Amino acid sequence: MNNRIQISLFILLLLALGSQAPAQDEVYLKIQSEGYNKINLIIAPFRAEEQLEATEQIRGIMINDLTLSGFFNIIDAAQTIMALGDTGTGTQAITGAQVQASLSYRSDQINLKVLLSELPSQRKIFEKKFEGQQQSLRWLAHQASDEVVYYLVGERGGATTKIAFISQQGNGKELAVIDYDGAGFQRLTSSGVLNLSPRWSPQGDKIVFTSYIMDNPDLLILRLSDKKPYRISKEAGLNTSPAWSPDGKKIALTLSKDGNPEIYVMEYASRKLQRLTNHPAIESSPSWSPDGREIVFTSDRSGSPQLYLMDAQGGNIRRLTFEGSYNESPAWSPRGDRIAFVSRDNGRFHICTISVTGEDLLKLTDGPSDNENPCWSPNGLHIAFASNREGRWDIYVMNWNGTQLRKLTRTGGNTSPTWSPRLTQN
Amino acid sequence: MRIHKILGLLLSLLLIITWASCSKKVTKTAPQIGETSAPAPSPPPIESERQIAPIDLDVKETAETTEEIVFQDINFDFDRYDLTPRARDILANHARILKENPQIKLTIEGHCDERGTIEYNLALGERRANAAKEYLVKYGIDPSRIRTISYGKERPLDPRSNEEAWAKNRRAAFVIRN
Repeated sequence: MNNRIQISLFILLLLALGSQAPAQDEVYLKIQSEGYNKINLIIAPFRAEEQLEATEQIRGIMINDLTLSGFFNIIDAAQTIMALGDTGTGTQAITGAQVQASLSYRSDQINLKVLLSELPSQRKIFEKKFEGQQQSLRWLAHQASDEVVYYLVGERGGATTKIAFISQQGNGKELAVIDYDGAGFQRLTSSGVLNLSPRWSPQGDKIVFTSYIMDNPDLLILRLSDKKPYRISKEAGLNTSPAWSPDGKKIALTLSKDGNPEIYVMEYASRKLQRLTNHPAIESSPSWSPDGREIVFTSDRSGSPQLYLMDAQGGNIRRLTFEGSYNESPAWSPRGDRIAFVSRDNGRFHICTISVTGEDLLKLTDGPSDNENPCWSPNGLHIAFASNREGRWDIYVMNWNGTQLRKLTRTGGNTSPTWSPRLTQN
Repeated sequence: MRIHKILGLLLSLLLIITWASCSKKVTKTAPQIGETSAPAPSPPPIESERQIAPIDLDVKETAETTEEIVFQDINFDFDRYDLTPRARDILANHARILKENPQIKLTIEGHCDERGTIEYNLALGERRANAAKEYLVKYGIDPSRIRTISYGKERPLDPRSNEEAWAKNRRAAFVIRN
């Protein structure tokens, strides 16, 4: 009996005994609901008459998507069935769900038919067709994965999201983008200058960022439909650290036009400015609460950078962080309950989260490296950030509680990730 | 006709000579490390390669950019933007040079060391550049001659990750604008 058979039998045995997710996963999924267990999900072999390689590729992408979603215990039926020499699906003992799929190819076109059914009843949950061109094979698989997540969990999956970031390219720091799983690197600008702090709009159609293209840190918008940048703020001094309001109608930002870095809100359509802070110290790095009513930001009014909360109109300012002498880069979770930020500890910079009431500080990264620019996935279950833990700066993703770390880029010189909302097209 | 031409040529030659002799007042401060800000002695003017000078008066403006004035950086403590006594001395000297050379316009760049976040360091660099500007303005320099720009931690002088490099990188740099 080889190892694979042993492992497969072990898994089946576990499933037969009734699956229990480990304690750590329970904590992870508490953000979703109390006492939530991972769902057993069998991925059957995909059927196709031709192009078996493409078929395997699509299946592999979906298995990866569904694993990364964090909601499932994935059982790769191609492996278990082969190992058991079983011709049937061997699913009688499992409580959960099963994904079956068939593919057909016509010239450039891929047709993916997915059947999702409940186990052990075999009752059909949905049967759905996904169509696309060969070159958007990955996107097709991501769409199917998100649909499976939606029907089983009641929550939109994150496979159709992307992450934009700043990538060192020659002398320039350029905007670049990859799929959420690290595939499909694409450069968005070739300016040869310094570009910083990209923030993806809530509608997904544009990215706001700071650019030195006109020899001043101005605020630019890159429209993703035609990749054209245009300038929306060119005040003297800083036009930095932009943050979209959740409805995408306003941008909070740092301006120093009145002599000192302060937080303003720009109404995007009219470019009208409203000043929110008024203090001789540095104010910077705003981030909105998901209901748009509050803003978290950084101020050094106490003598060191710390996080503060205020109403979206600028009133009711109160301090949030008291531990440590350097707390910056706040990012409010889309679920509203926690704020991720960067904290200096022992001379190194680490990603932490804290509840909006200032309690329950969690340190998510550790060790002799620096970790910066935390940003949340749209469903609030993952955090992307930049780290130099392997020497060079690259983008990483982890679960909201610091587990399941994965490296997204490998070229070095990559910083400042910003997560897209769920996108309707590639 | 011929006399007119010769006269014209002579006149232009005279103009060039007088202009060249009085316009080349060169002040140069070599970057100094350690000692406080006594200006270095002025080196002899560097001859520019002027051949035929048109009578155009515009020439004067372009030719003057051949002067070599270097403004020394000032440095800051970690996460601070207040001026150290040494930075004040250096700035006082910069103010003197600016007064002597009213044609000079400056861009003051604010920089930080690599530690800390991109966005906060941009704000910190801005404060450093502004602190330097405010001090020069207090010395009577017209604020319209000075522009500031912050590069945060994006343009280190020394790319290493140690105290020595960090100390060098926390600076305001003075760039003459043409």
